[in-house]
Amino acid sequence: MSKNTGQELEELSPLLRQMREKGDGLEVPHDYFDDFDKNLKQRLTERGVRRHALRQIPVAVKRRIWPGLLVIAASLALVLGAVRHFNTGNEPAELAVLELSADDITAYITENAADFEPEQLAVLEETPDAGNQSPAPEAGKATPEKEEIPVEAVEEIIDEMTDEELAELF
Amino acid sequence: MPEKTVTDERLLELLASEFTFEQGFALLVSAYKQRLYWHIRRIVITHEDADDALQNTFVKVYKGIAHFEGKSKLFTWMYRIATNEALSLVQQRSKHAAGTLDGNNSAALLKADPWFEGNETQLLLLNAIAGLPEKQRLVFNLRYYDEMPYEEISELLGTSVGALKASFHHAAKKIEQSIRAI
Repeated sequence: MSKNTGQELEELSPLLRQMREKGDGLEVPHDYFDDFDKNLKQRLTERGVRRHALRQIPVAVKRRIWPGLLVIAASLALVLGAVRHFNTGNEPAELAVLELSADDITAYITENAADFEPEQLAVLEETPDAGNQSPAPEAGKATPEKEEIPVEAVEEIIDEMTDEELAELF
Repeated sequence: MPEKTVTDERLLELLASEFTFEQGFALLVSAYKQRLYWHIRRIVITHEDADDALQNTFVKVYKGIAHFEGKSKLFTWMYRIATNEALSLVQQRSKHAAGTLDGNNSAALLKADPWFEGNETQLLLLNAIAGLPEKQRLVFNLRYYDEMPYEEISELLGTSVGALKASFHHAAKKIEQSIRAI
């Protein structure tokens, strides 16, 4: 590292070092630098100067910026991956039940009737048969593989079931 | 002194997008206007010329930033533009005045400039600097007033550090002799 200017002048010319400390007497109008931006903008407008953004960030600068961007991208990927991973094993039970047919559910309830409260069974009996409410398939059209049952009915049943029952069901 | 609060990397990021260009340019002007002004002022002497050359410098930066390749520092690139603008203005003025900028006409310019408030000693110093050959004057100003390290001056002017040191020492001796002779 080379000497600073003061040290260098001290050895080279003490007279010039002294004179430097007193300044050069050059002044600028008050507020010149504050007003400069406004005046420059005016000149750019008057001359109709067109500008173009940098075509690309210079390579030397990119090298300094990219590591930061990579860290951000990696963090984002990690968070998204974690969310996806933990969600896989905890899908809402209601969504899984909607994939079951009415027959599956009826069979399950019949087999485990002893585990249900009378009120729960009464609610089930009051619920219209979903299969009967569905319009009859038109001739020539394929019959759906699964009968549709009202979502509300399924939700009610699910709400009343214990975690163990749900675990056994699935 | 410089009011640099934003890094060149950040400025270039902003200048690389059409959406943030104006913000980046405003920050760039704010960061470098004072340093560039004083560099120019010591070449052209009067405030009026310095203002003109500084505005032209930023106009060229505004138009030409798309061509900045990052081979040098952003400031070095602008310093070169500013130096060229200032020297070009001095040459134009010299054509009209039928001469070059030297100790004699710089004294006249300084006395006529309402923004010179120096005393006789300061006038002598500025005159002596103005009497130096062009490149030696640049080296002297960059080192003496801007306190720029030789390594940076070397990058700016494309001259070896050794040659710059020799140039500065030679210039300092000449100026001292010139002042003592009066």
